[in-house]
Amino acid sequence: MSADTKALLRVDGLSRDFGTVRALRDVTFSLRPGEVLGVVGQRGAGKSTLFQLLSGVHTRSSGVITFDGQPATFQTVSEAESLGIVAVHQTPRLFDHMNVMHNVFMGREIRAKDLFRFNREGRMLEATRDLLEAFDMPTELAENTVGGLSDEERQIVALAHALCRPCRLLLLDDALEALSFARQELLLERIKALSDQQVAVILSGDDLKQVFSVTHRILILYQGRQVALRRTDDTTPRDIVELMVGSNRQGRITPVIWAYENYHEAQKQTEDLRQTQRELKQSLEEKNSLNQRLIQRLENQVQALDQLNLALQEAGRRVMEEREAERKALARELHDQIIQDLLSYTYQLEEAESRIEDGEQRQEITRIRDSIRGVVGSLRQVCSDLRPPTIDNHGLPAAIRSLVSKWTKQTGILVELAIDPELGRLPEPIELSVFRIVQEGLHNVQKHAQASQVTLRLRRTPKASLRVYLADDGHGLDSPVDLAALAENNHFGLIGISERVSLMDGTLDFSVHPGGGLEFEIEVPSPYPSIRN
Amino acid sequence: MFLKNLQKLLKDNIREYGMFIALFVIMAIFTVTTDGIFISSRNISNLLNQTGYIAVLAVGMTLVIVIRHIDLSVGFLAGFLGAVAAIAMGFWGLPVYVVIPMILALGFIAGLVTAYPVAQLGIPSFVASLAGWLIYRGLLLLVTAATGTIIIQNDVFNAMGNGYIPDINLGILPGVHKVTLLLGLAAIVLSIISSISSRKKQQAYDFEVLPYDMFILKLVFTSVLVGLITWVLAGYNGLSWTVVVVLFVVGIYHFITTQTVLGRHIYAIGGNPEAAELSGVSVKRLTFIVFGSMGMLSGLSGMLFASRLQSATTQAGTLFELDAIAAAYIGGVSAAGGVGKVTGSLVGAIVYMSLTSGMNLMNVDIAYQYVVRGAVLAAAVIFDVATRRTGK
Repeated sequence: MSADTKALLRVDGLSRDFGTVRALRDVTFSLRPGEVLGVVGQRGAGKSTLFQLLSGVHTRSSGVITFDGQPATFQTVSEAESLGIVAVHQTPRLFDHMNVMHNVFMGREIRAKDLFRFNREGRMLEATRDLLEAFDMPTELAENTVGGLSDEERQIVALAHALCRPCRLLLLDDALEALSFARQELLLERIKALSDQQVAVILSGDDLKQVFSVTHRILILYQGRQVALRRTDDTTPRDIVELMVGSNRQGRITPVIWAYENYHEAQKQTEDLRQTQRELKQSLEEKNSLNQRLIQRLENQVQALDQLNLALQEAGRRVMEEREAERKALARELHDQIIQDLLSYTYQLEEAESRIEDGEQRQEITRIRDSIRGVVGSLRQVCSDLRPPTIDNHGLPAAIRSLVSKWTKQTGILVELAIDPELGRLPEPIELSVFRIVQEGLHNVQKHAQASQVTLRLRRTPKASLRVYLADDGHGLDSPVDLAALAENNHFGLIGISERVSLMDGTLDFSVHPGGGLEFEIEVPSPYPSIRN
Repeated sequence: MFLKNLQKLLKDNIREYGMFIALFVIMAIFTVTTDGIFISSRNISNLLNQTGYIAVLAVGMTLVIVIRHIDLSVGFLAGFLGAVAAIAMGFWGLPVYVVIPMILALGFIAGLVTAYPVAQLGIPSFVASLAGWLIYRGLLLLVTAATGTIIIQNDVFNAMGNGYIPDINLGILPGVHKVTLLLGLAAIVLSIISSISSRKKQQAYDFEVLPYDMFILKLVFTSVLVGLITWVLAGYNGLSWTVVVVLFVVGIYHFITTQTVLGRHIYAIGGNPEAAELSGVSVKRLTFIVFGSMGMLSGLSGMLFASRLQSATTQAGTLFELDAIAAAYIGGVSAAGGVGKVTGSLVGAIVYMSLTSGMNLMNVDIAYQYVVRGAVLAAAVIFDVATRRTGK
């Protein structure tokens, strides 16, 4: 072959034993300047051993290495390096307490005819920054100590160490693996450029796509033996994997092929995912801050609503109080003015009646007087409805008792009434509200429930200043109780009750008794100390 | 800003400056306890002359420890070579200008011999140099067996350990050594000029440099220090030849370790021998060089000691190696390898000898002296390990 005549490197029957382990057997190939050779094989196939033999880390057990036409018997790395062979090994070995620049140029320093180091090191520093830049790394890294670097950064330093000076044969043992996808691409570009400059490259890697993208030939190792040396253009990843695995059984190969073919893809995807994750994190943060602002606004609005509600309640309370006051005034007016006037008219009529002899006229007057009395009676009823007369003077219990006895008389429904003797007096608005509630409740019972028995209890509790319990044995309501539906059907009784309760900051519990009948329980809290009798 | 810079500088270099601080503390204590005798020109001059032969060994030992080895043979090698020098001058009649290079060369060869089993055969240096310790002790006894103590009568040779550089008469400052003062002044001026020019060069290449205020502070500090030492020395007999030799050796080794590729490789080997080998640094070659230089400095140390005593004795060099190792460790050399400065070891040697000198002045019992020296050594190593752990 003509290639052999101008070969840069020729390896013939290269073997290496570690004790009884035959790490590498009979490897034979040659390499022209500028040629890129890929070495593939599974773990333990002897890839790293080959690199170590070629770079002078280990010496061969047998075989011949010829470099540039001369037999090369290098025993040490420095001998190999003096021939222009540099290697990047699988795991970078660096000097942790030295900075990146000194690591990059360790053993390969730029010499200068200068007594002091600054000119020499200045040039090395510039070169280091250039190399870092070529791999898209921040140039400030050059003066950082290596001890704190990440795996990828360490790998870059190892690569820079190999690339910092011109060489003739570059050995890259799995140098791509620790790099990010973008930097792998940069390195592959660099390998192509070196190849164009007649630098021979031998590289190993797990990613067949990358191996195929830069190499001219591929050397396949299997369990320390060289099983094939193929031209890259004449082979396919599938052939290579078959040779690497040492089998062409479909079941063994397919997953490996899949793995090798997808390695590249997977790595790219991983990186994309990582990028997406970063972006997501960022947008999540943004959203979080937006959410927080929204929540803040919502809170403000809720607060405003609460205030509005409070104001509304206050207004409602005032309306209620005013209504009561008006009713009171109206009742007083009726009682003190109209009823008294009417009564005085009946007395005058009575007087007139006694003076009239005519029986027919007298009967007429008596009839008028009786009807005026009837009007007075119904006016008194109106008064007492407008303003329970007992409540101002005798308090809520008396008012309720009177109301209940009247109601029983009127409807014939029995009321089991129990009023806590400890009830005491409550503020006027509360007493009135409770009275109205009871009134409304009884009215409801009479109107809708067709009940025969009503239970009414008023108690003081430790928690609430007043608890009202009203139950009947009528047919109750469709459970659950829906105030909105009730309102639509013009049943305002319960709604009125609930409004009054809420104005007192109280709680209202409806429940439909299992045996029929409605019961509700009202608790009025005790914002004010109750006024004792 | 100034304080912040100062804090950072101290924090980053705590190990380096810790030693200086220790030296100042020790000197201050002895100055107080001896009513100022310790700091007198005469005592300081004497102290530095005593330190000479240990300092020279400590400089070589620094490099040996930096590359993760040890050399126990240097004490008796020094004693033996001192005796050889005495014999060469006394019995063989060789001129002193031949004897000195010859002894240095012999020392270098002896170092290479020690290095051979270490570098080539992979034998632990402790064992290899222990063998050397026994062999050189035997050889010392052998060459001095016939005559016992050999008196040296060569004035030039004896001046190395006892003489002072000549003075000129300027007609001013009687009782003060003018040449010493002038040399000190020259040293200050030179160091300032070279510091400024190297800072400029570093900045031209965008190296990280000290903040300006710290740079000035450092210059002022070193100038004052050099000035003080010069003044103190000039008050007695001026610079002794021993001090000149030590400064010369330290200067050369400091230059090699900080400015040259060779020095960088030595530290690389200490930091990570495997990586150094893979980087194409020849560990073997450097091991030979470091042990060779150690042997050469042993010869120098032996000559300094013989010249100081003006004789070669059968006991010369006993325990020198351990003193040198202690001085190096006190001077901030790391037991783990890869870290340590020759200037540090010089200061370490001065600290070590100050303890001896100060306690002698205080009439402290020798038994307690050993205890104190041991405690200082232990403290130095503990300080080194502790600061390394808190650092990166």
